[in-house]
Amino acid sequence: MGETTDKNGKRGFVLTLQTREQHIRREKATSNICSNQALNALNATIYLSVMGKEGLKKVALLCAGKAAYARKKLMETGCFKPVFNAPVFKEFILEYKGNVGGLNEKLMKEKIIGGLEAGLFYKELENTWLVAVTEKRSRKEIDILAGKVGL
Amino acid sequence: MHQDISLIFEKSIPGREAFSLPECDVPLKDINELYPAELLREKPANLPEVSEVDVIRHFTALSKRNHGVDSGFYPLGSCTMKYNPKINEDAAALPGFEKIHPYQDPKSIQGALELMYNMDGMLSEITGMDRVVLQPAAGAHGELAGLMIIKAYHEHRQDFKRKKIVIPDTAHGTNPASAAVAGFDVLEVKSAADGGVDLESLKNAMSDEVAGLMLTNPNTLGLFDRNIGLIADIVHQAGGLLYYDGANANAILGISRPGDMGFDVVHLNLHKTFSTPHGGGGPGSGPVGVKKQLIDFLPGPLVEKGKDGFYLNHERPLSIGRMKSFYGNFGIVVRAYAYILTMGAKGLREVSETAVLNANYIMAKLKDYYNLPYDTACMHEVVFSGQRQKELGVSTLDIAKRLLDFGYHPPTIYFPLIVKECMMIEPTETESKETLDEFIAAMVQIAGEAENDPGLVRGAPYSTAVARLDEAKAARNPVLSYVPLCGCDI
Repeated sequence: MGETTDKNGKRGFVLTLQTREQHIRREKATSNICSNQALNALNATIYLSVMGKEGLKKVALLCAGKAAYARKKLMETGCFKPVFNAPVFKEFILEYKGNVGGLNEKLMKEKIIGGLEAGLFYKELENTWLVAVTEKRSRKEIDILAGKVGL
Repeated sequence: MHQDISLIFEKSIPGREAFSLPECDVPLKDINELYPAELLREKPANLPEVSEVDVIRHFTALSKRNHGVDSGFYPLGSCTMKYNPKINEDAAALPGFEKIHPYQDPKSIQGALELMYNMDGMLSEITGMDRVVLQPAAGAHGELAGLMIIKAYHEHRQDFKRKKIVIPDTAHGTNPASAAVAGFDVLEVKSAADGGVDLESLKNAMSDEVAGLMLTNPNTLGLFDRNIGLIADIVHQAGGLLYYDGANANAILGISRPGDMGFDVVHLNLHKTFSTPHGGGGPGSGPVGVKKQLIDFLPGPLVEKGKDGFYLNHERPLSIGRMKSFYGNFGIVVRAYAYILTMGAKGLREVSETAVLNANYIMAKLKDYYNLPYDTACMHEVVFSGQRQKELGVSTLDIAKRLLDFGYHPPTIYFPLIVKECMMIEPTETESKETLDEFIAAMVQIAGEAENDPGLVRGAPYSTAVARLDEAKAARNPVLSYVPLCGCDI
């Protein structure tokens, strides 16, 4: 999307640098884009406009704070061991003492979708649990999760 | 009326906020306690600081400066800008569809898997294919998937010399582009005088180096290639496969099927034929269907029905792999599924019959005013040439710009490339006779203006938010992201 001016000098926008891909020498194109994901980009633009400079930072801090709280509560159950030491943001990975697939099945009966079984993607991470906590989760929900895991 | 055309960044006032977040209910740590200093940014992100009402008014104003299917007639040829029924949106917004995650246990997303499985079956029935995968994100992505399937098929047979894809000169620009991206050389064949594939040129182009032919039928002239059976034989006898570009499928629903015409691979554009929104360019959806002998090569995973319910089959060693993360633009698939169920088999046939009738109505009413290079009944779109007006000093671009003053989105122009001063009009089935008559009257008036007052047409548009834009300037000096006027760091 390129900025330009109209014939009266007023600012306007056009699709630019598009012709060379599919209209001129099209059999030599280096991309074949047609429809795109612009509606999703629009949603994100509106979200970023709403959150702005301060809001985005506050959301990030909420995510980090709630993830840290959840990590602490889960560690307190005695069912997990840490896997990595580096700082985490809104996701963290823990090693479960038993079969993590079984843990997720147990939680599903309680209407909770548990963490992701990272071992499905990385063999060396067998029986680990990738947990994501965002600003949308409440302390109460986190406490319930830790309570059900510890049962 | 005062028209505010400032950018959202230019409305920013330090300290202004639009967001509201719940009180933090967990002990909040200081950021410096959580992260070492080198991981933290030094300057805050340069994002706008605006109020909620600023945001609402800004984006509402932007939407009003756009012409969409909900604001008026949009006869953009080859794009099938039909009305998108609102019930599709309701279906896609159901929490069970909207709030699921692709990493969930298949046992907890049986409804979504069933929908995908059924959609595979319905699109197979519509196209005459044996299996359809919903993964590609849009038409050109589907083309790329289809070409990779064709390549995998030949290579699996230990046939490594098929490096060429044959494409007619009427093809959509994405066809040669997709072939190039998939690593093929493009061999262009000329069209015959009737607009169809020239059979002699095709025969001459075929060899044991040709992997396949990409064809749109009806083609971009809006004409159904009557020789399709012969074309399929020529390609198959030379060991090639046939790829069907489904961009024009709105002409054939319930009437003819690519699978019956001899095609081996098909893509569909759900955002065209199946009434899902183009929504500012997407997200689209470009399912790919294949005949039996190519199923093993389809991208995956595929949804299968087992004795314990639906499951995702990842164990497909010959598959070309994933074309996209997860299972495609699922929300779009839900909308198209709702559309197919709403229309039913009879309704879908009526869609194409009406789309074809509407295009022929426009052809009959405008052929005395604009040149008609192929004077024969058309399918769902009609191609005119503005050559007569060009001789009066009014180009097809001028005509397109003038249409904006009448409240219409212009047709596709200068495409297909083989028609000079081309205008490609696709009215779709969702337009009434009254709407078509008003558009026809505008086109007739512009033809008159071209004769009597060509300067008026050349200066158009007059009623839009901006006048004619300097596209050369945009390309010569690309300004592609916001640069603050203050010159401060972003």
